[in-house]
Amino acid sequence: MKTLVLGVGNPILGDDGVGIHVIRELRKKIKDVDFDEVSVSGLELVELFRGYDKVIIVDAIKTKQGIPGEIRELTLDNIPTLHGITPHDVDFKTAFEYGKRFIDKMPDEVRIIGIEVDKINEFDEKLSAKVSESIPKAAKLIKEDLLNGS
Amino acid sequence: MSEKTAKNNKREILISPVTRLEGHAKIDIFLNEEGNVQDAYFQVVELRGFEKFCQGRPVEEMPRITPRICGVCPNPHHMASGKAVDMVFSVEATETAKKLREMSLCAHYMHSHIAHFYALAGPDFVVGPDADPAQRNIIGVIDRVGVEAGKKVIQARAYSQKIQEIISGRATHPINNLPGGIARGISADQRKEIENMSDYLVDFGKFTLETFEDIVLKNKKYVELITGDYYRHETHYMGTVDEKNNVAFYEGNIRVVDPKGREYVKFKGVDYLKHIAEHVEPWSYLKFPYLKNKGWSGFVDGVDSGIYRVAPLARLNVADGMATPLANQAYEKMYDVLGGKPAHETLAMNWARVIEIMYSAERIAELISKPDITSRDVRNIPTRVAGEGVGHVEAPRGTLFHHYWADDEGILTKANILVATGNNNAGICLSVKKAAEKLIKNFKVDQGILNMVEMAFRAYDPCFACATHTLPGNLPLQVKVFDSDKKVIKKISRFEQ
Repeated sequence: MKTLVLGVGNPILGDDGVGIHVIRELRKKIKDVDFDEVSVSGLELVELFRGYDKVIIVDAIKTKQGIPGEIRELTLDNIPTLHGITPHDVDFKTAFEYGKRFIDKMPDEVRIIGIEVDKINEFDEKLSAKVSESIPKAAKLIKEDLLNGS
Repeated sequence: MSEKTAKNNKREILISPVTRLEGHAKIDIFLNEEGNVQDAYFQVVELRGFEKFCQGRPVEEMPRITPRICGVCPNPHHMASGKAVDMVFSVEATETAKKLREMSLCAHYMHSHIAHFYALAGPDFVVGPDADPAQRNIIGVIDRVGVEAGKKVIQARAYSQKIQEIISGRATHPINNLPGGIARGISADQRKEIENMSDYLVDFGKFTLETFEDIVLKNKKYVELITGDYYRHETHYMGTVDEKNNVAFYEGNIRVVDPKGREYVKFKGVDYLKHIAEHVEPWSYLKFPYLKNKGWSGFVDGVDSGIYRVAPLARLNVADGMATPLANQAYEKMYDVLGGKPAHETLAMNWARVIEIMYSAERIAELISKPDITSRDVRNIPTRVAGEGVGHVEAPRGTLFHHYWADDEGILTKANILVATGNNNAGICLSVKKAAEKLIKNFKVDQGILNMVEMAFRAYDPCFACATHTLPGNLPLQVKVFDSDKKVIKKISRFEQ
């Protein structure tokens, strides 16, 4: 099975880069899986799925009652809509639908690991403490998935 | 939504964030006592601390840092930054390096403009501005133009990414620019690969022009929408031109024309501060650049106003033509239909964008055929630090300036970046207000009208910095109604809160 794990975010925009930190942690430990660090969303994100059986996305999220550092698992069924905060794109659900219809090989399984974040409006390479603590937890969750094939 | 808003008879309408422009942006529309538009503003959330973040770093790192400002325009930031750094080190890129940088930028244009035309503007022009929101998206567009078109869009975007990746190291966050050129050139095999992809892209450019012709230009309603008065402003325009005054993306002088199309000024990018000043409004984090020698006279258009606009239509307005044959044909046709230059119809921005898709494809094909494109002479090694540098390019959404100051060791002490959307800030406010004035009368506001206001905004393809993702639900359109004491008395959203 061909699997891609994507860390999504901006590594110089504080907590927004948390997904990328998780990928860097996993890369050291796991082989035979493709990892990538990207700062894209919508169409461009979905276009990266081409040719994979399974995709795991790790991304920063901010929900109304969210607690920084909290890990939330989302699927295509329960995700309300994942809006890239980029003005030049479409929402994730629309992009995924577009991918399913027009990209030859799209993954059967997409897992989205969201990490609640706090500081995202100031350029900084550092993460806030609570968010930083979530990195090994998220990495463990993904590692178990990859090793067990669950 | 319309009924509720109308019944409340209150004076402020807030659209936040803007659908399909999912930035930290919102539009505020203030109504007068009669329920007609008094003022309309669009606002963005500021991302803080970029200059501080950059200070103390070796200035040559900037071309790799600045693409991170924005997930939408990484390539133009890489290029403008590369040019600024060349100047800081008092060294010019080699001819081959310049060609490869330009080709990478053209590939980025393809990638960006394709998304805008098919996924963002397309829903309004191909599916229709009044269509069911569930259909008004890229799927709806492709349902109209056919599944094969969808596959072509995917392929053309993939090739555009691939070309950037070959030349600039990474597709989304390019890394190849160094002071004096680029880290590595391309091989003969890579040249062949790009040549093949450029053939496809030229065909795709033709296909897109035909699609625009068939679906938009042959539909009277859409042509009226473009040429109508809704989004028309007689402003100055700014863009970059080559020595023959053709549209140029990577290198050239900046030309400004007045609302009559007469050249107002032509200057080198390095002199931008002599010609551009910035106005500050208390309600907006983003400043409002204007023509310094004209002065700021408020949010008004006309020959005496310093407001200028950038982006595809502005670029075409300031130029005498396109440097490639098929794009130039399309250019001539557009101005024939629109009744001459400059075109002030904001929605013609979408037409100009399609012409630039054609130009980008032809330009890639032209550059890849140059004999020196595989030359190994890709870098002039710098020998000294001059201390200050300005680099400018045309980003898909307009003129972009990077300005750095460095100490004797080449450590950055100060940075100023004037982005394309910043340049268009005042113009966007003009468009939003004008659309709102035409479409909101006597407190009557419905979803269709709001979409029309947003169309004005979207035409500029504005771009704000990347941040995190939010999970609000469906389209994150929110209308807040305030009473005269500025208290929110009603909140109406398209999504569950």
